[in-house]
Amino acid sequence: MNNLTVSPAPHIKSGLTTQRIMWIVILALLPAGLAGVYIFGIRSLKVIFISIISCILSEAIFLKFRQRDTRIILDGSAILTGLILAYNLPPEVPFWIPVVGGAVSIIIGKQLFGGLGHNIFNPALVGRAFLQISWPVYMTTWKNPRWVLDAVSSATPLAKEKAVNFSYMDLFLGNHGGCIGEVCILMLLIGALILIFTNIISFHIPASFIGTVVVLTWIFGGDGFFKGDFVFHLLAGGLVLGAFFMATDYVTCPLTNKGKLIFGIGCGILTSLIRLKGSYPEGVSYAILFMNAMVPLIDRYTKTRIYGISKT
Amino acid sequence: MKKLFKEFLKGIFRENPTFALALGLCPTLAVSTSIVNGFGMGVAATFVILGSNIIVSAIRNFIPSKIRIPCFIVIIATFVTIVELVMKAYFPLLSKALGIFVPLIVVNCIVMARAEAFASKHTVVKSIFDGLGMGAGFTLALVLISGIREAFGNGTLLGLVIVRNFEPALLFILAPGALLVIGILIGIVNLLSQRR
Amino acid sequence: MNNNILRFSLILFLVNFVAASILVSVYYITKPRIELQQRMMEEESLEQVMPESVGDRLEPVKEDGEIKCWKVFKGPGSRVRGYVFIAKKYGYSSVVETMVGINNDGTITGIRILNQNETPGLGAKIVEVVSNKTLLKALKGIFSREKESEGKLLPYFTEQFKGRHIRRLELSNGNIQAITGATISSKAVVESIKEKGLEILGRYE
Repeated sequence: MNNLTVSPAPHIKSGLTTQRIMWIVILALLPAGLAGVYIFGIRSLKVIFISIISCILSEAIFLKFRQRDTRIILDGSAILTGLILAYNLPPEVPFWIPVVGGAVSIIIGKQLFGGLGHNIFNPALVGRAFLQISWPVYMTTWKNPRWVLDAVSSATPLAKEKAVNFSYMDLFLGNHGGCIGEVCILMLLIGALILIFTNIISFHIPASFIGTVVVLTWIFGGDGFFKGDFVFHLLAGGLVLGAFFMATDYVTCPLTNKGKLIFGIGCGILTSLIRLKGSYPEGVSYAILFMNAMVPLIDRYTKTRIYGISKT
Repeated sequence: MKKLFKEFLKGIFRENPTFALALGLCPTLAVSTSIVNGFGMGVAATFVILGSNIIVSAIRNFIPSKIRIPCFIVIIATFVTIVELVMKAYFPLLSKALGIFVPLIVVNCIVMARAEAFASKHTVVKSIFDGLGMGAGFTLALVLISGIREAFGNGTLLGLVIVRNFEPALLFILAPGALLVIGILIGIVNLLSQRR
Repeated sequence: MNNNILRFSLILFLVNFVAASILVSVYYITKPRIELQQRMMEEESLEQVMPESVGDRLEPVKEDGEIKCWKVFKGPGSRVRGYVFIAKKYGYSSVVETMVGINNDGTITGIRILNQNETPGLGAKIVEVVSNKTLLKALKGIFSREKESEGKLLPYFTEQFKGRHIRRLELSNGNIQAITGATISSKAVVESIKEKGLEILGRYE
């Protein structure tokens, strides 16, 4: 477990390369995507493919423009960005939405900052925020699972205007409207287990993120204190997807374990705040983006002491 | 004459208030939602810069340096109020669209910067060209930014629809779009000036 | 030292005096024009909310020193033909102010949004005008010299209110169609009109 701790030299080189990490994360994300395609139909598969292709093409074009080696598009990071972006889209979006979203994610979210490893914000979330602000109507038109007769224009469980009741089991299995990759909690958890057991991510961020949301929605989520339906807030929306797969992005989260805890708690507070008090129904992606901006600060205050130098 | 022309040109390119000096960004962000607004704001600011430059350089030997700042502020505020009244009287729609940002030209740093850094040290003629150049640079930048924002964010140019069935990206009309467009434009300007 | 302070004050006084005199003269030159513009805007609003009332007598109804609404009289007689009022309600990000004209039976003659600062592209669509002027057409227009005259276009959202009865106003299909993605702003307009309109009708009927 210790080979992910940040520490001063000497270092032992592990066999875990960036490429391998990327591919394992992609693998871990696949079950949730398959579930999404099963629930919403073949159209969501097309959205996922278009998003990935758009990301790869944008990366290739921009690397060419920057006169870099274009072969690094195959390191998996562009594919991962495209995959996560598509998971954050409603299944019924017009096909040009993932095209624009992929290009924005890669060019504005990643390459303009200097490419992989230099980006401040999670690229897929930059793309998602751009789409959400630019075309709010498309980004909030949800579709029911394909076996429900009233197909289009349903609300997500989190939508404030409509009080639709979902059983916890429906929420857990993904039997409701929502984004492609966020609905099936069961499959997301399988992926999350893969990541934790292969030591790709540590439990710090997901645990503190989800824990904070649960506690805060329990206290403030209902009429009066300690009456909120925290199980609902845990299962509905993109919390699980965000906590395990988006907040844990290596480039845009703090280095130390202490920093990771602060980061996760911050994400949790912001998510609960947006969900309970904000005008948007869902706040996971904005919360992560906001905390991404705080990472340099967190890193600065939680850096480990260099061996041999006293604390000042 | 050639020297004077140089004073004019530097405001447009080498010392462009928005792209090179990064001054007066607040009104730039706020009003550049359509070309008409951007152009109106640019012309209003140009008038104020020109007026304050002329007066400041004309009385620069008369004003003791210890009280120059209050004097500059009074001069600038006078011109801004004139602009505001004239705009209300003759261009009511533009005045409504620009709203609070017309009176706020008072605190636009370009005006103060030119009065302090240039007009108080140079002759009236030179200051006129400097003011015109700075105003033209500011107006050009505003028109460029607001053109991009209007085209992408509203699908129109000067209120005319560009392409039918184009779904505008609202982000460009909102504040984050302004920051994004200005950032990318400054990047492009830097890239071009590096290559030259 | 003392001398310096005196000199500084004198110079500052001079600068301020000149500035103030210029401003006073500009103010008096532009004043009639600004008032004219304001009157024109008011008249235009009135014409839009009550097209037939142009030239009719308006009488403000005051309550606690505030103008509640205007009674509109037809001709020289004292018959009240309708009311004009301003309805306000907080929408999504700003107070939406609407001027409304109703006949004395409660039918809306027209409405006009006076002030709003809703989200551009969403809530702000309550004042959107669909123009079929395109860039291509405009460019062609420059060369063909044929001026296509377009009638005064009115926002499609507020046009829906015309002729509806204030009691039967609601946000639904077949009644007032909300702006897609901006239900809150649309609701603010409808509700503010309904509330204030019913209040006025109930009081003076």
